[in-house]
Amino acid sequence: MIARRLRKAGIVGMNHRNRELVQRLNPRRLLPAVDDKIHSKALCLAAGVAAPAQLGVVRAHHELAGLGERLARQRDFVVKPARGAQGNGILVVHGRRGDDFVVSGGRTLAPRDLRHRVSEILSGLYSLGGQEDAALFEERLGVHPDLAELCHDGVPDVRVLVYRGVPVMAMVRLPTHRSRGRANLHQGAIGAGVDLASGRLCAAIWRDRAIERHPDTGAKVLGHELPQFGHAMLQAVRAADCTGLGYIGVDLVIDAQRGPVVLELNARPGLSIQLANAGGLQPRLTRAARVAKPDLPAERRVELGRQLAAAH
Amino acid sequence: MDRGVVATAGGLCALGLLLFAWKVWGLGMPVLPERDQGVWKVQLDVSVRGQGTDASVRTALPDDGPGQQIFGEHFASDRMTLDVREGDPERDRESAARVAVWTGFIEDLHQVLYVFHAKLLPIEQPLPGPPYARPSRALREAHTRATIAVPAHATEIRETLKSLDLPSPEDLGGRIRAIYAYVLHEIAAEPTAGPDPLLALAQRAGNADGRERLLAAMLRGSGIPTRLVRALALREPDPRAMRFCEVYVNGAWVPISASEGFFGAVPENTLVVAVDEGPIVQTAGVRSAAHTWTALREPLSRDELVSLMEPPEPLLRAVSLHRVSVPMQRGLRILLVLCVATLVVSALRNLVGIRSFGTFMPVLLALALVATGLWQGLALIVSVLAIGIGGRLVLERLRLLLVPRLGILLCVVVLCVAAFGLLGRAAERPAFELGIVFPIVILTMLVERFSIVMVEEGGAEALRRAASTCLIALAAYPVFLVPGLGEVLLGYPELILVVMGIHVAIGGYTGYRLSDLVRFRGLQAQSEAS
Repeated sequence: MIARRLRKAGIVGMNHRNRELVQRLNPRRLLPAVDDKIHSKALCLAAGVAAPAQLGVVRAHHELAGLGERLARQRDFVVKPARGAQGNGILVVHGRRGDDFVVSGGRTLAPRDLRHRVSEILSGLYSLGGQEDAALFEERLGVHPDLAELCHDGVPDVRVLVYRGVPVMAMVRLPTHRSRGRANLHQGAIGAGVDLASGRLCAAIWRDRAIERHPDTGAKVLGHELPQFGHAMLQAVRAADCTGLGYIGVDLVIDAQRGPVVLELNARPGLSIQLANAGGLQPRLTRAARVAKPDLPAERRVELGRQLAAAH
Repeated sequence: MDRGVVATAGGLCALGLLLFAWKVWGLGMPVLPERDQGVWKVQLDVSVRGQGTDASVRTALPDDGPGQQIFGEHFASDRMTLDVREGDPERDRESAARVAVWTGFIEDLHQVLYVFHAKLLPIEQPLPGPPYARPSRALREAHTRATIAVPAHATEIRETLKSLDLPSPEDLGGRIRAIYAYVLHEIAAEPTAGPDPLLALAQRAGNADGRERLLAAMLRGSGIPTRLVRALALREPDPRAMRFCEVYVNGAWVPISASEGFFGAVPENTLVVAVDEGPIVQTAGVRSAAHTWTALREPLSRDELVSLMEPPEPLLRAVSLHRVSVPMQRGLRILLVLCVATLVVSALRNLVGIRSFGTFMPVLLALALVATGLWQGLALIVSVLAIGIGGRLVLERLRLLLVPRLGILLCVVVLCVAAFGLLGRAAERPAFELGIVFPIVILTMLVERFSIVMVEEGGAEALRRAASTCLIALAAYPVFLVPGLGEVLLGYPELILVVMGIHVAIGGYTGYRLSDLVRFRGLQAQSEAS
């Protein structure tokens, strides 16, 4: 009963995603390159896609001793496990207080706490499958002024779902007070669907409820236009192209100075994007499959994505 | 679901079920070992008094045959040497008889002991219908001749047969029935009468032996190959020695007996000892001899019962899992049930959409619950989780590297389990001590995963995930309790193909999970409104 109505609404379920999208379109041999952030960043940069500047990589425990010196000149930065999943294990350092590091939520971290955190990353605590991992130090991206009123703390990110080279759906994840600066819907961030044609936010959910205004700032979410969204889609399509995957989630941050920067690639993008857009994915996938041709230039495919969304 | 998936799933299920059906209905293999399927322990005691010379004791040994399996044989004697002559399985049952011969110099009283186990199944061999084929010449000659025990060509026999007005030789079945009916109804059973068949015929009465030998003599006299079988009607405590006839019709030996009153089917618990006209126990060079039989229904352990379930077909027997050692069988039984339990995980994760720690960790947890008992097991999981998380929080301050930290957690969990063992002993709850060794590693992993999720996604999510892991474990738990499931799978491992077929079907299902319906239910309402 419910299933029939969901099917009518074009909702894609988990089993369908796993079998028909991820398994069919993302060959396993291509996944390691995407799962490893260091590798995928190199791929992006080689293809001319903007990515956060890499400040350094720590691969072994003995490098931890020199960590303080390497970070001495760095006021703010982000530490990530190279093979982490779902944003786990990411530490954002906003600034310094003496020797200590100020992290999201205003807490401070002594240098030895930071070293412990990095050592956990190296041991594989946050990595897929628990293998040994590397810690990646990156520049911290800033919030674009146009989005400042939409986020309480942390940086909003834009997820563009690219299917067979065509952007089919997008959402913005806005950190809230409740999510403690993190852009993860489970943890209380807002998910807002983006109208691909106009770049405006067309729907939003927070903690499983549809909302119109930001619960912390009170700013109107619906109708807000994302800055440089067309460029962001283009970056996403190019990033997707260099992975070879047919169903991929590209996470971008629209930086105040640099514009859209590809933060991370996800070979198994989740389905909450349907909730954020208050609509099913299936009709768009069907139409995209009909028109998608891999040899079209990226700009043309972004245009196709816009048209598909407008026709919807 | 696409066609390949449906075909593969259907094919696997059909193949597994067909094999199973063939073995059960085609070959008549038992699905489950039954406790009272006729396993007997039989003992033969022979006492002989020597006379200061070389002496021998010879006894026929029962052999594997239709409806009976002999195993666990044991021989004992105090001074005589034993020689077991195995029959030649290439030859027919009669000349292939196994015998045990004890020989030695004996003076006074000696004892010879022979103990064996027998598994008996009912034997049915109804009389085949016409047309009747003529048996081979060699067979006819061997089984229609006259012997001392069966005077088939005696004048009295011939005359009686003539007077009976038997059906024509082509109607073999009718002839056999007429002779059987004659001995059964016209020759009275008289326990005090002698065993001589001719005397029995003259007096119209004989004891069991006499009547049976008369039946054999008349059958042979009318040209029907017949042999006498020595058997024991097993009952507790002393079995009764008996004889019956077997007539050869169209390639089958059909059991019939005038003294026991059966035709085409041997009564339950009849053990065939030898196809032989002479006595079972024979002695030579002794002053006196006596023998007694005793029989006991044998209570067998589960393992022994299972290993009795060998298939009758030689090729199947060669690949039967019952050939592996008993401890290995015990392990295999658990593993085979584990395969079935994975179905629960598949269904709950892909059809319902419950998330758990680890893929098959819930199944292993369920197995642990079986070993410890449900409530003790759950208590163990909860306390180990609590202690492990407490330990982890303490260790957090020391900032240790991951692998040694896991090692310490493992040590803590082991110590806890040891403490539980002591507690269980003090409380005289031995279940607490049992089988908790192997889940330790699983529990440690559980603690580690739990604490990571707790840090990364919050305590609520971690608790929810731990609860759903336990839920799946509880759902898989009853699978391990299904009585006899392990035994059935050990006898019929092809049923795992069915399990695989169901896995294929679940794996090819791309419809919604129950959790999808809950998660996206709001979108359904909206699309309806628009």
